Amino acid sequence: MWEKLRDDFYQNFIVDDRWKYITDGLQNTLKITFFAVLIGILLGFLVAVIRSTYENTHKLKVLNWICGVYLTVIRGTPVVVQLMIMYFVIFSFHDPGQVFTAVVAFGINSGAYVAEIFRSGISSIEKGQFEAGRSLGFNYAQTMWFIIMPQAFKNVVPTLANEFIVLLKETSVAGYIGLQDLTKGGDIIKSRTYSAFMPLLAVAVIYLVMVMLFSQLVKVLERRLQRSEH
Amino acid sequence: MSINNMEKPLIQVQNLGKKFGEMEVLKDISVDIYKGDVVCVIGPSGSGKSTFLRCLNRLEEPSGGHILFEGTDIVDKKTNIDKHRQKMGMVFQQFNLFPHMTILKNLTLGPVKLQGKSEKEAREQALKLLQKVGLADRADSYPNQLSGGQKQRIAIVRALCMNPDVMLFDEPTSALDPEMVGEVLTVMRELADEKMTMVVVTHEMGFAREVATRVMFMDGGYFLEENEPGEFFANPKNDRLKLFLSKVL
Amino acid sequence: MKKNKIAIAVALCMAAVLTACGTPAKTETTKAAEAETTKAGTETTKAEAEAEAEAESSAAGGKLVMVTNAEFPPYEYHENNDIVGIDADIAKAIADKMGMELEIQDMAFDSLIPAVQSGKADFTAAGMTVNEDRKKNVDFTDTYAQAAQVIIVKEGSEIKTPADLDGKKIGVQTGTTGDIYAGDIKDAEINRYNKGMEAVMALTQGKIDAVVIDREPAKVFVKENAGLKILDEAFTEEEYAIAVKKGNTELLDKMNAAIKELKDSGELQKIVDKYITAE
Repeated sequence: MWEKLRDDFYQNFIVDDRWKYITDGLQNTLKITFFAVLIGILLGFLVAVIRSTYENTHKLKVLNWICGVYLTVIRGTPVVVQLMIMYFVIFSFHDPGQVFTAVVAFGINSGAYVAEIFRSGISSIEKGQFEAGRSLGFNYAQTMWFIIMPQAFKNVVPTLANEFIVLLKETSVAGYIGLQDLTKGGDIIKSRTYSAFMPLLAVAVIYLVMVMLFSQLVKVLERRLQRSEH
Repeated sequence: MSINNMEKPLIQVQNLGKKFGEMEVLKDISVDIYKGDVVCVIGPSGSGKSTFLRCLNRLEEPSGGHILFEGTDIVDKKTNIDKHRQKMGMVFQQFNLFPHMTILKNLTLGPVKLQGKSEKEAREQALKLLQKVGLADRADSYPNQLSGGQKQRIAIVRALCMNPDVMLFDEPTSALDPEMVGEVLTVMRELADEKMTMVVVTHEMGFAREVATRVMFMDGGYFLEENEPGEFFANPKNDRLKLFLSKVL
Repeated sequence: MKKNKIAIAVALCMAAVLTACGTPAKTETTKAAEAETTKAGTETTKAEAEAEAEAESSAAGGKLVMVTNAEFPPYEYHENNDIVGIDADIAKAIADKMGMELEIQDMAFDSLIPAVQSGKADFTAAGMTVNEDRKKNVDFTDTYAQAAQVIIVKEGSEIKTPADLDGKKIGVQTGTTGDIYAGDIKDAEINRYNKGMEAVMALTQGKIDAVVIDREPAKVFVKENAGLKILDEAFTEEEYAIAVKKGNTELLDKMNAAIKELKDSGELQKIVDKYITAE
């Protein structure tokens, strides 16, 4: 049995340097996830601020409407369809590169979920906090920035982390646009060796380890943020 | 209360009205508040007294009328309300300290960000005021480590750090356990002794009687009676005030 | 720090457990499948001994499960909710000869061989080229069609022969012969798509320089997309065959016999002609 395993391992990872499919794929997965997270946070933050401002003050009506459409469309369609639309439709006459396309698609997708997370974080802060800020003489933006946002952010760290874990795993459909991510790397090996077990196991373990490391990181961050309240 | 100040009110409320939808909470209120006044507003719950107070710094948007603060109509949309709010300290029933900041940070945030004071300058002032309310040792604590009474004293100091011309108190002792009411009232009494102009919405009749220069009774969106405290409590004239006092005293 | 160590330890444990569970399970499945095959074989032999051809068909009259990737016209593609094409028709003819019912399942090309290996399907007919790597994992029937990997480029492309592909961006369908051979092209960047059509679309949009794909589907794609052409010189020449689970000689022999009959009777050519009109 061990001999068979060793042979499997050799066939799947060593022959023809097949392990490179995994490491190259992992690089792309990390790249896509990292930059998509950045875009997601920026976009989500912006949308959440616009939506909350509209809710509180009824200003920014048009922007709020646009944000509403954005949230509805993005959250109402599967990310893999959005990815293919980005690649085959939106970037149909200009090719900015597959990784870039994926970053944009996943970033925009994530932004919609992050926006709702931020928004619920903002509305979870008591109205009194807002009033206390305004009564001191802070304007709307300053109150948001100094008083509401830091508290809202702290409240949403766990949900936000969860969203990024979901995003990391969702990038596994990047292969649909001919991009070689971690999952696709495993697929390619599988298509060469016709054994599903080893490549899929390797891919699964790598995702798992990444998610666990990230969760650990978040716990540390959470603990540090919590400390300020006790 | 010099004669000079008597002539020029700090806050002039003219025909103030406030509606929530169809409901008219404040009806045509006019009142002048002078420098050094300690005005206590009493009345049954739902009488509009908190709404009146919150209109004074436009936390509630008035539906009509004018409020002249130091000569400027702050109901006018063109007025930069943020500038004027710096001069109007507010203390809330629920304290509303910022839980993500230390006490010191709570106190220095406004002066540093809004008044251009240096951190050092703001801290020195904050520590001096903390000393006065007996909480200098809590400068580095977080709000959640404090008792309700301590929190409210900090909230008062936070407003004072902005060097306001008037202090607005919205039922400052209503959320406190009874044994903590005293420490907060003591701080407020000291403020009054220093001739701080104060508008206090309260249920503390004792405080109103002892500290106020004027007591006003509000019900149904109107001020029904106003007097200096001695006369106000000894000889109420309005029937509804009589009824109210018979219940609370 | 301590927590991190625990996390890593947990990860390792899980990996170990997965490995440990996975392997015996796999072995068991293999054994079970083998046992079943043997049993089925015995039964069939018994039936054969006892009855005529007609009786045999009813005795064997089970289901034959075929897997394919129905994105590969004209060999297999979806039409009116059915999977049709040369492979589908040939498989149907073979199943008829064996007196069995044919069920066709559609899946990704690179999952076909694993599906056959694991016994989830009896065979795959998917325009699959016979090559050494695949032979290690499955048994192939006699070949039933000639095929070639060709190169699709945009009209006016500077790529004129297979040699011009060096250093270019080349689109392929994951796991196809084209994918495997394209890996040998010097300095080329290979973009692997799930479907041939997507590779062709990327080509029309200028995202890649060429597509390497089987000749017959290539013809369909070029016909449907203006501005594309197939290079005269093929990338490789090859032959298609049906693949069955390794060691299932019982099924292999029966299929070979059926294929021979179909070839001899001219029925096979008829099927091909139905889908591929002579040039």
